[in-house]
Amino acid sequence: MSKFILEIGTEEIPSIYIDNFLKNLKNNTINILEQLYIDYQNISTMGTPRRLIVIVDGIAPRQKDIFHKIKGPSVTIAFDSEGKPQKPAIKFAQTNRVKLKELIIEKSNKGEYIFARKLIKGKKLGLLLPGICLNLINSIKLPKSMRWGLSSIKFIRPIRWLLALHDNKIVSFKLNNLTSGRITYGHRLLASGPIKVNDVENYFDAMRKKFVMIDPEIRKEDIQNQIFQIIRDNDGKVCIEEELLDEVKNLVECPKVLIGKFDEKYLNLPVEVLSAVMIKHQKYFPIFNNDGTLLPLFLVVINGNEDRFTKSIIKGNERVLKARLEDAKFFYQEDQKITQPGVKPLDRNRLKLKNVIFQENLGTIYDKVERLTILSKRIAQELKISSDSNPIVILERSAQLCKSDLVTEMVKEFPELQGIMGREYALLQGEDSQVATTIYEHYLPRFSGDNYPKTITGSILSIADKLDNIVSCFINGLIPDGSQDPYALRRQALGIINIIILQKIHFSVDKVIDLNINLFLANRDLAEQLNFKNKISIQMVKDFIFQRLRYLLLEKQYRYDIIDAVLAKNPNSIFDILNRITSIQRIYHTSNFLQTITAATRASNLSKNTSNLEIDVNILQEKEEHSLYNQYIKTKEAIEKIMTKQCYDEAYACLKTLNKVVNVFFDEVLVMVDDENLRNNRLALLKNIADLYFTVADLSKIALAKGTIRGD
Amino acid sequence: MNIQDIIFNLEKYWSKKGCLILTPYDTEVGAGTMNPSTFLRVLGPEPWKTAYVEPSRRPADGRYGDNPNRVQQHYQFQVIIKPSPENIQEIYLQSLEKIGIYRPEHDIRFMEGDWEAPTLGAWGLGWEIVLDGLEITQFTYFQQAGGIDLTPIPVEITYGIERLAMVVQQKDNIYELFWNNNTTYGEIQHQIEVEQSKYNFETANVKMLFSLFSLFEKEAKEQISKKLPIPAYDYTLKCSHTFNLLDARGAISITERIAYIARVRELAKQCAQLYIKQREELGYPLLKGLCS
Repeated sequence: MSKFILEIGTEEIPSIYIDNFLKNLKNNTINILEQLYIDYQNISTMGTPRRLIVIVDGIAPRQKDIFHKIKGPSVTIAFDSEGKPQKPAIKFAQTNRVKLKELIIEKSNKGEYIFARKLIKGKKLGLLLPGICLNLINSIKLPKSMRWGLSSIKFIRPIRWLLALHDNKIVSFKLNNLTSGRITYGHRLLASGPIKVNDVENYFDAMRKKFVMIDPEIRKEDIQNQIFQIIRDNDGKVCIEEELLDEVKNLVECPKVLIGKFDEKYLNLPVEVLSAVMIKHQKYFPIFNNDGTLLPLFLVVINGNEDRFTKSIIKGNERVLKARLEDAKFFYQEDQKITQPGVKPLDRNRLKLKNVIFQENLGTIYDKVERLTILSKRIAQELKISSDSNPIVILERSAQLCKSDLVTEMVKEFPELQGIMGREYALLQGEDSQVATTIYEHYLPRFSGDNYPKTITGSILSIADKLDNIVSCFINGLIPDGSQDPYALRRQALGIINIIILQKIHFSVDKVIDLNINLFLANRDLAEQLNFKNKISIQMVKDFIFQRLRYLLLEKQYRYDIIDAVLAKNPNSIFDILNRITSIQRIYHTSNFLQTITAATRASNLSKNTSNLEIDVNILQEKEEHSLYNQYIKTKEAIEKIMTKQCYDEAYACLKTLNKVVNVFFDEVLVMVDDENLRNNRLALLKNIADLYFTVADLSKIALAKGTIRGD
Repeated sequence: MNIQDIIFNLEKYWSKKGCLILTPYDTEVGAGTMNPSTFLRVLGPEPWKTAYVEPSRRPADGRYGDNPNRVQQHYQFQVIIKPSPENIQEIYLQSLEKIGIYRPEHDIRFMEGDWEAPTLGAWGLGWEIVLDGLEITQFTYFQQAGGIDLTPIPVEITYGIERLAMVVQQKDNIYELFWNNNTTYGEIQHQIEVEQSKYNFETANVKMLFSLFSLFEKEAKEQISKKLPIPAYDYTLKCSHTFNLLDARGAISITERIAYIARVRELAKQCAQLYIKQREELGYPLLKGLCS
């Protein structure tokens, strides 16, 4: 069975890209071979920081022969009525070098045409492979690229060798100043000389002998096994961060896991700080006790050095970690220092935010904090939280301090700790623990799959913060467009929606957006500077958020027509929208609801051009007309009461009492009579009834289940 | 191995590899990259190979001599080779052996490290070279300098001399390093750190520095208009250092910061463009192989 291998030898490729390159390379190989009609049994790609490898097993010795069809003239021109070939057919056959009898006829929607079928003999693989190799190298999608030396090509890092073999033969091609061959290189530190590979079969063995594990998945497994082994010996627990593992496996060619320790005194630092130092900066795995507390130990994955040298390597790593932790400790102490008597660190930092720009043209973070304080209190007010209650006190204090950690040394060093340091420093300076929690929670959710705020104060501040981000971007004209959403505004809108749903809170989105915009415009310099150029409206922001809501509800399997029926009422409260939709979805299949939709739609369709809503009781004539009016008045009063309770199951139970009188009315009373006054009065009555039916949702937008016919 | 032997050995090694061994520049710089022997020489088609020590000032990194790892002035060993040779990683690893770092004994990693110098309009791709967890070298293939695409591509290798010494001498504290066998780094540098930190953070005359910045900028522009890129670049460097001092002193807000960086970058760009033109007019003298 024939095999082909291409190994692109490089200087160290950044680990985060390697998995993607290998996926990309595999797909490209499949595509290229298929486009060229080259059969194969299996394609695999593997790689390390220093090499990207494609291996094709069972590659066919040549391209498949294929028939190529060339379209000729139409049959009516090509043949006469007796089926004898005419000049166009003869000429067509000649140009394409086929015999007349080999011409075939095929039907298309434009009629019958003649075709020449030409056999194209497949080329030998050997002729094609050099081109394939170049194509494969050039087709890798690079997130960043560079040149080197005198190179004219670009790649992720310099390419230093090319091994390309078809069984035992070199696939010879040139790239830049490099010529492909059968030479590869082993592990950089353990076996650095060139290696000659005689046959594809020998490649794997050669790599193994020269300390290179070419398969990333095997390296990953190997690291995991070594970690478990060490942990078992040390009685700890590792929560293996998948992301770190994937990164580390692509930093080495021959993984070896070592365990090191650090001084217990650093365990006084917040666990998030220790984890950030170890994971983000040093690529170490932290080790936890069975009760979840951190142990003063770490795991480092090195590139396969011999055992006799590992002791000093561990010592080196311990020394570096100590310096890092010492820095973190220094930041931690610095951040807590009181520089002005009576002013707590986070309060001092709040003033420092006057020097930190929030967004171009939109003032400082200090200004944002001021807005968040007002905005979050307004949301609380909308939620009927009384203004002298504890939550309001907590909320106000949290809002004031929520961005103070941005100017701490710790967050400057570890930006991912924003919110977490805010919480820690708040506790340390003696804030209420609810304030600390609220500060932390106001950033949640930070990414998809992250936790949501649990407290009401954290939820409110989080909503305010996210809304303010959205509004500010809209003011600056940074509105997400297609796949472009650099400020992750869609994610923020989704965050707002999910928080509202989880907390089951009602408030008017309009009012809050309105306030938020006005808080920006209250800054006169800003309003003048922006010259209202990018005019922003409440509806724009609301539509943006509701679009996300619609998307989310569709994802949760709510019917699109029910969603649209409710949204058509332009409601203000997201939680209320959800309640309406759930109610309707629940009764959607009942015959009562079908009757309600039918009756409502009849009334609505007939009266849709009516603008007059005034009903003159004195000109109601027929008995059915009177009873419809009476039932309407009764239902209307009931619905008004029910709507204040926002109980939509009950609303539809009440609305259905109208169905019968509506139907009787349509059966017995002619609406479009000649008498204009009478006609208009009846239309007004129907219009009022339709409006009443549509109190919760615009029922005309709901598609009826199959088999039912909508009356009119 | 003491610090001065580390420097001697690196100089000897890179000299054998064909590098000119030059000296630090006589104006304050933030990194060896800013020395005209790098910033200007990487421009244009002429080959260039050099190595030199550069005392590099980072006023904001001052810790009054209290921190065992951070100093407001450290020493870099800078190597620049244009075009970058094919086996440069190997050449680099061999240089470590000259100072007692043998590769089978250490975990030496090339970790992604993209480099950018916003005040110089320069960037490149490469690695931080990490030895047993410690970053000891920045290794960069320059792609642009002064906003100009570079051809051929130079490679820059910047060793942190103190970092190397801490590995080689197995010390945890920078001030305990031996410069020669009798005198420590602390004995030479500690008082400098104390005083300069006090100056950088507390006593620097902000008003004077602001007016110096304007004067230096004006002079740089003046010299650019007279088509003298080399003196103009001197004043660009002075602007850059003055800005760093103001920044450390906390005198520049975050908004202003971006604007100041842009002003320095603009000067650096113009110097670079002028310099390239000047070399062209001189007929690229180094293309004749003076440097090999």
